[in-house]
Amino acid sequence: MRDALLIFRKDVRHLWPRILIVLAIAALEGLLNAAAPAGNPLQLSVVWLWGFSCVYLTASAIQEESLPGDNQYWLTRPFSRRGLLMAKVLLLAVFASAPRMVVQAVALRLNGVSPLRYASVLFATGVFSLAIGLAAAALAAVTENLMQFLWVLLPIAAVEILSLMYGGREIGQNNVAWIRSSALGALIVAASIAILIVQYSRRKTFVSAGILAGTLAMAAMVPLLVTWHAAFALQSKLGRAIGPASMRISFEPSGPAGNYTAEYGKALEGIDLPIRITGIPAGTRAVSERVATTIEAPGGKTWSSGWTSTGAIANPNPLEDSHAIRADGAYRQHLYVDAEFYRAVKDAPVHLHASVAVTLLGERQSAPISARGRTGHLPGDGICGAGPGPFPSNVVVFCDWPGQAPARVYVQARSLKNGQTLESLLLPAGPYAPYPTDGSMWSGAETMFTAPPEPVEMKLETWRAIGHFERELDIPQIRLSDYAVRRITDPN
Amino acid sequence: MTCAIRTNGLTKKFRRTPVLEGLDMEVPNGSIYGLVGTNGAGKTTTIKILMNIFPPTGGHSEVLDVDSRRLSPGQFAQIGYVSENQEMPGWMTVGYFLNYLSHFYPTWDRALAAELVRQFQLPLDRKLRQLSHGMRMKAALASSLAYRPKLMVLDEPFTGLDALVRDELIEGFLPRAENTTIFISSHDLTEIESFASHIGYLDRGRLQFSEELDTLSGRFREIVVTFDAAPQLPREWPANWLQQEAGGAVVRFIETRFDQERTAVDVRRFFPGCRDMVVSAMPLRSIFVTLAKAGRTAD
Repeated sequence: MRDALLIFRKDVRHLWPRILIVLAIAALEGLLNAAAPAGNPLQLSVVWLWGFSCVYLTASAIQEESLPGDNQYWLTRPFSRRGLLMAKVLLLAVFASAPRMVVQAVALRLNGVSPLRYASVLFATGVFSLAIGLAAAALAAVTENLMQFLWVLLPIAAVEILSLMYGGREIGQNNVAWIRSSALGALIVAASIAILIVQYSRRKTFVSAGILAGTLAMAAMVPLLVTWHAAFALQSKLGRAIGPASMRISFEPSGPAGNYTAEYGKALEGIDLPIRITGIPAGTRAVSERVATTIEAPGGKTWSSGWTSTGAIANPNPLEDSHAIRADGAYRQHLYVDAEFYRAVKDAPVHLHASVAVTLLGERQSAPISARGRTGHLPGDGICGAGPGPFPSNVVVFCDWPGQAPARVYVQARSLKNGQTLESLLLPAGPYAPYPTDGSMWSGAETMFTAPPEPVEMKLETWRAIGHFERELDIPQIRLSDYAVRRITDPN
Repeated sequence: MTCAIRTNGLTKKFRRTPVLEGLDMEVPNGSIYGLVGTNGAGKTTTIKILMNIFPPTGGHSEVLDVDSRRLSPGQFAQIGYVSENQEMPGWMTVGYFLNYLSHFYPTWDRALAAELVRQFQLPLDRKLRQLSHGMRMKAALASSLAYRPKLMVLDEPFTGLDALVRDELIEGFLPRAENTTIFISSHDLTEIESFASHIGYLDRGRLQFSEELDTLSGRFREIVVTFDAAPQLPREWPANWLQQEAGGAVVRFIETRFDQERTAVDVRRFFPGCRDMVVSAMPLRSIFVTLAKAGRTAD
C-alpha cells in the first residue's frame, strides 16, 4: 500500500492539469443537474465529455509506467506491480468515480431529493465511471504511448459504433436495450480486468492483445446474440409480476370495421385486425411492445416477420394513448406483411399466427403540476417544467427523474373553462432497466401538445412496468385483403 | 553465495532468430565483470534477461541467488541498473527523481546521494528531459548508487559520451562500489580494461571465454619470430595461434595460450630454423580484435 500511495502522489503531481479537467467537467455536470436537470440538452454531451476526459486521464496514468517495451526505468526499480496497479485504480477512484458520485449526490440534494434514497443509482454511476476507466486502462496497458493508444482506440470505437448501429436495427432504442448494454459492459469489464492482471503480473503484451482482439470480436457479436426477443424473455423473468393468466387476445371478425389509413413503405402491406382483449387486471394497463407474425398460405407458402416493432395493438380511441390497453374491450391488431407475399396470397384463405409481446403497467401515481414553471416532488421524485411551445397554443412539458424514468408517463390537461381534457404521452418512455446504463444520473422525457382553453389545470400520471409476457393470436383462416390498411395516398 | 550472477544454458530467440545460444556464465561476487562483444553479440539481451525484462527462451539464470524470472522488489532494491537507452521520466526534476526513488529503497543513503549530486554536478531543479545524454547517465548512475546496491548492472553506459564525461562517470562510481559486484557490458574496451577484474567475450550469442582479466592478458601474446631467410611455413598451424602473418624472414602470430616455456618449445618445433622470438603483451582491445577477426574467419 505504501508503494501505491507513493506512486499515486507522484501521478497526482504530474497529472494534476488532467485531473482538474475531469473534476471541472464533473462539477459542470453537477451544476447543470442542480440548476435544471429537466430538459437539459447539454446533459448527455457533458457525460460524454466527462467520459473522454476520464479516458485521457486513465491512459495517461497507466502510461506513466508503460507496460509494453523494455527500456522503461521503472522495470528495474523496486516498484511492486500490485502497488502500481493499486495506485492507478486509486487515482481513478479518487479523481473520477468518487467526485462524480459526490457531485451527483449534491445535485440530488439541491433538487430536494435525498441522495440516500438513490444510493444504488449513485453507486451505478460510480461503477459506470470505473468501467470506462478499466476499459481505458486495459487499452493503455497494451500500448506504449498516447499516440499508439489513440491509433488503437479510434478503429475500435469505429468498429463498435458500426456494430451498434448495425445491431441497433434489430434491438433499437427500446426499453430492453439495457440488457444488451449490460452484457457488453460485463464483457468489456471482464476482459479489461483480465488484461490488467496479465499485464501487471506478467507483462505478456502479446497475450493481452489476443484477449483484446477476442473481446472485440465477441463485443461485435453481442448485438447478434442478445436479440430483442432474448432480452425481452430475460426481462420477463426479472419482472416483478407474471403476466395475468387471464389476459387473452382473440380475433373478433364481427368487430367494428376498420377505418384505419396510414402511409408506409411500398415494401409492406398493412393489416388491421379487429381483436378483443380480456382479462386486464383492475388498476393496470398493458402496452404491446413487438409482434412476430407467421402466415401460412395454401400450397405451403409461408412468411414470417420475426419480432418487429412495426405493428402493435392499437387503441381505437384517438384521444387516448394509441398503444395503451386500458381495459377489456375491442382493439385493433396492426400487422405489416411483406408486400410481395401479400400480393401473392391476399385473396386466399391463410393461417395467421401472431405472437404479441406485452408489458403490464401498474403502480399508477398522479400529481398536479404547474402549467407554467417548475414542479418538484412528483411521483418517483420527478421534477417537471412546463412552458409555452413554439406555437401560441402549444405547451411543452419536460420532466426528469433521478435514476430511471417511469415506464409510461402522461400529462393530462383539463380546461377549467369548458372541462375539455387532453392527455399526452411523454417520450421517450423510461427503460425497464434496474439501473442507468448510460452513466447519467437523471433520465428525462418530454411532450408538446395543444392545450385546451385556459385556465388549465395539469396533472402528471406515471406508471411502472410490473410484468412482461407474450400472448398468442391464432386465426386458422382469414383473407388478408378483407383487412388491408388503406394508404392515405391510395385513390378511393 | 559465491556468484552474483549465474547463467546455465541460457538461450533466447526473437521469433526464429537465435540471439543467445546456451550461455553459461558466472560473475563472482565482488568482481567487476566486463561483458564484451561486437554489436549484436547479445550483450543487451543477456542483461535484459538477467533483469527479468525479457523472458529467456530456454535455460536458467540467477541473480543474487534468485531465479531472474522471479526477481521481486526485494531484489531490485539491491540492484542498480543503468542503461544507455533507458527511458527516464522526463518531466521529473533531478531532485524530485532522486527524492521519489529514495522512498523505495530501505538502504537509500541521503548523504551519499547528496555527495553524488555534488560530484556529478547534477542540477537538482532541471527536468530530466532537459539534460544532455551525459548528464542523464550521471543522474541514472547517482540514482542507482545512492542505496549502495549489492550488484550494479551497466549496459553500455559509456556509449555516446565524450571522454571527459566517461572519466567522470568511472571516477564517480568505482570508489563507491567497493562492496558491489559490477556487471558491465561494453564494446569500449579501453575503459573496461582500466578497471575490470573479469572479462567475458560474447560472440553471436555464444560466450567464447569468461575469465579473470589478468589470466586473459597473461595468455594472449603477440609473437614475432625472425629467421635468417624466409622460412618454410607449417601446413597446419596450432589452433591457439591466431592471425598468422609471414613476410620475408619474419612470422607474426597471436598466441592465445601463452606459457613462457611451452610456447618457446612449440615455436622451435614448428620453426626449427628460427633465429629470434619476441613476445609482446597485448592490450585488451587488440585481444578483442583478434578474437573478433578469428570469429569472422571461422565463418
